[in-house]
Amino acid sequence: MSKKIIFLFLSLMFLVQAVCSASVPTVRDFRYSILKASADENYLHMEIKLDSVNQKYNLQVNPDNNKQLLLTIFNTRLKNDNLKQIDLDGTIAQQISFQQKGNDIQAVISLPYNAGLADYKSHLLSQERHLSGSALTIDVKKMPNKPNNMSLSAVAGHTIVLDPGHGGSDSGAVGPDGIMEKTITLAVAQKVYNILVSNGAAVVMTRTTDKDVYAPNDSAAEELQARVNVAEFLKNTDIFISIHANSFTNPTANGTETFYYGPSYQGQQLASFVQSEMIQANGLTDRGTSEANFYVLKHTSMPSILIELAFISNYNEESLLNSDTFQTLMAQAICRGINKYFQAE
Amino acid sequence: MNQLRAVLAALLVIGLLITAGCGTGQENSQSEQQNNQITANGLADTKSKSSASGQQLKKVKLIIYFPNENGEKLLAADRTVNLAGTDKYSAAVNELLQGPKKGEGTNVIPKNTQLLNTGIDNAGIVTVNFNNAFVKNFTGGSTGELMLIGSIVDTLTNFQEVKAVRFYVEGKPLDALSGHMDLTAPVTRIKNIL
Repeated sequence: MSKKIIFLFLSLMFLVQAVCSASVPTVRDFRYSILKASADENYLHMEIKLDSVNQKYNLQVNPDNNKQLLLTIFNTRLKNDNLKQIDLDGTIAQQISFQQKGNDIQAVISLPYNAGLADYKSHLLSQERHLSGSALTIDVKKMPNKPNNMSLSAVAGHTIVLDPGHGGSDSGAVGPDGIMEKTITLAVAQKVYNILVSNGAAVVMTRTTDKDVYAPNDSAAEELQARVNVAEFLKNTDIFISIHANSFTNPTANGTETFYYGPSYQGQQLASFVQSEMIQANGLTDRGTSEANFYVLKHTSMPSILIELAFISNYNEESLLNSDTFQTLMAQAICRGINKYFQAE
Repeated sequence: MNQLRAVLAALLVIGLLITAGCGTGQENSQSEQQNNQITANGLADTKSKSSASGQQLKKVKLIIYFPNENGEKLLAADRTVNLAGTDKYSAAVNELLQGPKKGEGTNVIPKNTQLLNTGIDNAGIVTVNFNNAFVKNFTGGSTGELMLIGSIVDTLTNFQEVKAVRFYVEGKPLDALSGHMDLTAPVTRIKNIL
């Protein structure tokens, strides 16, 4: 009797395992090639063969390493170990390595440059004419470093106040490597200033050096009101833009976010134009736009937003924030967002 | 008898295997439920018992909030506190200061923060008075500020009679924490992070 029970039990165990493994699709093969995007521009074309259709996956910049793209193929297994690590062309991408992470496969694509400069696209092609399954294609291109001469016709004639967050006696948040928020916000604001001014906008900054706007060691509310006053005392200020770097107690928190003051529809519009341009440019986690009871937003009478570029408390985003390339990328994106806002008006 | 035991043990193991085997994607359901379960603090259970000294031992169930790992929203957590020798507002804030238990979210309270006292006025404005560490050890960021202020305000406004929260540090009104939120006026419930 007891033997029968043990036999029954064992066969049931096998059955459970068999059902599980049969339902898990696999990654079967990988190949890549270098193709021409134009006469002097190449891109890297990668194909991952899957034996499933409508496979769920996600491709993003690795929030923990800004020189990597992270591809997650959900609920799959690796067919063989040859796929573990494959060298790529070396210029557009160095290497792709596949790894089993729980139920998913994670593929890390390492780049010899900051992922903010990578232009990447992915598509899932189903191969009905051939065998069953599908192919996940990823195309990566390195974007050239663009100079500041952007053409943004809609900003001309508008008055814009830029507020680089913190400054002077107030360092703002400080990253794990000691980078200060006040330094980043001023650097990005200055780049935004240059682009907007060269396109014919009237731009005023609440500070142009590392200083308190009101007075050293002033109260936080006095300091914030002084920034609001810059926008309020000018005639015809059209929009107010406060630039910050985010921080959180948990160092893994990451991403880009834009805040606006609730009752302002125009503020919300401005926030969403700028946010979507920033996300397109930096590929970081999109934390979206949010309504917030922030002092400088509430007390300014014109449409206003507060931008959180990325998390200075996150080790990798701190180094991004500190790089001139990333600062330029973000400044250009902010300006494109502002331009779209005035175009839509 | 032995056979019966063996059968029962086998069935148990099989049951466990089947439930653990293929299942994924059930982790989210709990936090979603918690977020929908916004009930008024203090109303869930107000059983009173008389202690030997004649004092009332009041056990109260509270819902308090901690930020999730990425600082995007607050997660609800249950606490049962004894109100002997304290008031319910202080009890709720002190539970927040102790931080989340495993799986309840992430800690956002600045190091060494202590609650000095709380009070409430006729208009339902609760005052919370912290020591200097609340400002001095705060590490900044819009997200840090929203999650810190939000977890306190949303926990306290779970008490039906509480309309808003005014922050104090060492007895002085706190008008701004680190350059983001407007704290010059009492802060009402922040709904978009729940």
